Amino acid sequence: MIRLEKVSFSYDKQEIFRDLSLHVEKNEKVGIVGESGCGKSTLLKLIAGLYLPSEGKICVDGETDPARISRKVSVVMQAPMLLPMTIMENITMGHEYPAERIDRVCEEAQLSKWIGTLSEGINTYLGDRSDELSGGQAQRIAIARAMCKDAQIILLDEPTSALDAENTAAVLEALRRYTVDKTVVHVTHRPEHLKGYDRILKMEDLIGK
Amino acid sequence: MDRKVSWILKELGLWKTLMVVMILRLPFDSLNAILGANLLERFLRLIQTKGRDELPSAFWTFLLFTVLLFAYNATVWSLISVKANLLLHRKLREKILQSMLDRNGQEMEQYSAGDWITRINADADRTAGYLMEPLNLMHAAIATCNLIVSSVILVMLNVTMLAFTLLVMVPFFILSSIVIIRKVPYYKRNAQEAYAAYTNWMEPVANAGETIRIFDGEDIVLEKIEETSLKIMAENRKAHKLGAWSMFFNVLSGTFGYLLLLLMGNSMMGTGIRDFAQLMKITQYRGQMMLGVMCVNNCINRMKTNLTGAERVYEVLAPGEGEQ
Repeated sequence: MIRLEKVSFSYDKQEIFRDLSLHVEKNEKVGIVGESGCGKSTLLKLIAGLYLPSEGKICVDGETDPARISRKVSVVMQAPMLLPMTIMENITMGHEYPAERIDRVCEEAQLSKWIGTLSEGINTYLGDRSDELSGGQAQRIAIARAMCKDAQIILLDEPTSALDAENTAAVLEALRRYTVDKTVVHVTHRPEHLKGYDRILKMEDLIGK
Repeated sequence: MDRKVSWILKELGLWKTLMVVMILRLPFDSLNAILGANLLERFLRLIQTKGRDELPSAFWTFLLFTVLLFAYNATVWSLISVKANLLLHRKLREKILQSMLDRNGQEMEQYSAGDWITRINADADRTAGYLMEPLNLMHAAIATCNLIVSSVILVMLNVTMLAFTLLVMVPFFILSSIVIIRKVPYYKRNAQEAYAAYTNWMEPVANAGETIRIFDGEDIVLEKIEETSLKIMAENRKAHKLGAWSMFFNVLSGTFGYLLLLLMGNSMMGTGIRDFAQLMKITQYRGQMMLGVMCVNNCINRMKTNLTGAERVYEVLAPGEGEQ
């Protein structure tokens, strides 16, 4: 399903990692842990087709073309990017989805209660600043967006870093329920967030194998 | 000068600089008008009185004065005004930046990032334009000075001509400079706000490209950017349309006045005008008056446009007073 063969990546002439290999089967949940700066986020961006490897091969769901790979995955980044549009548009990104699906993802991402307090509800304009929202609200919108796309492959980069303990537990539980029949690669420096995962790998163990 | 622009100028500490630049330039057009009118009268009179031998000396005298006048304008005044203009731009940007840095987070969030960028760039430029650029405040003052000098000379030479000129000029001036362009600031402000919204999109497009690509959001992003772009275009088009109508009536007043003069010129010879040379001199002053009004009209049009930028700068520099 996800296959990285001896992938190397350099950024600004600085090598981030060399000969990294990773195989993830369909519906498998894989957690990858490592210290900050070891290249975990870079690895996810390579899998998502956002970065091009300097060496090696990447194949995701039979695709090797980065642009096509990007269409097949959903990503929740550590720093969620919201656009100057409504909450609805930030979740759907302009695509037509059934109302029930949007309601469901809002519920699962723990957004519904907050949206209910807004005078314009899900059609509230967010402006150009995600910092007008709390980090948690912005991150939950990003999670709802990822759920709404309903891709088979979900890539998570510290998705609960901006949430408090209570919300973290709730969102992780929601993600767990949502990804039962999906392939997940979750990178984090907190192994306790990876309970129930099929495999937990250390970043350094993927390199040079 | 608008009260808010005057306040900004005081805050920047550039009142004296502007006054010096203006005073140095103020007499130029009037002197040029006097020179031109007298040159024409002298030439025609020399031709009429068969004093053709004096024509070369008259020519060289007027040429010398004209060259001196334009040399002063192109060297001394130009250097001083460019220096003052650069100083104005620098101080304006510094002041806006200082105002931004003095704010706490909540006050910063009063305006979006795009709005801040627009205020510090386009609006600051418009404010400087209002004060220093051609066909704005500076030229309005110069043209008004020329208008006053020409009117006073015309009163002394021929009151009928002054009355006739005012009769043609005033209705057109009211129409083109007051009635037609009164909504220009409104449309220009809308355009500036749309430009701020457009600028708002630049940061997400630069920083959220990955998110846009992953979630296949290129279409909605382009659609949203196009919406703001179309709004800028629509508002500017409305303002330009009014500007064009204003210009039309402005030019029409000049043409209309000239045609009437051609019709009435002959009968004027009996109303205290000595000879053809004096009629031409008077006509020159009438032309200068019309020119002054046309210039003031153009300046008012430009100043109205630039005033929207100055108002937005004022809102930033004088928080809490913006709604006054």
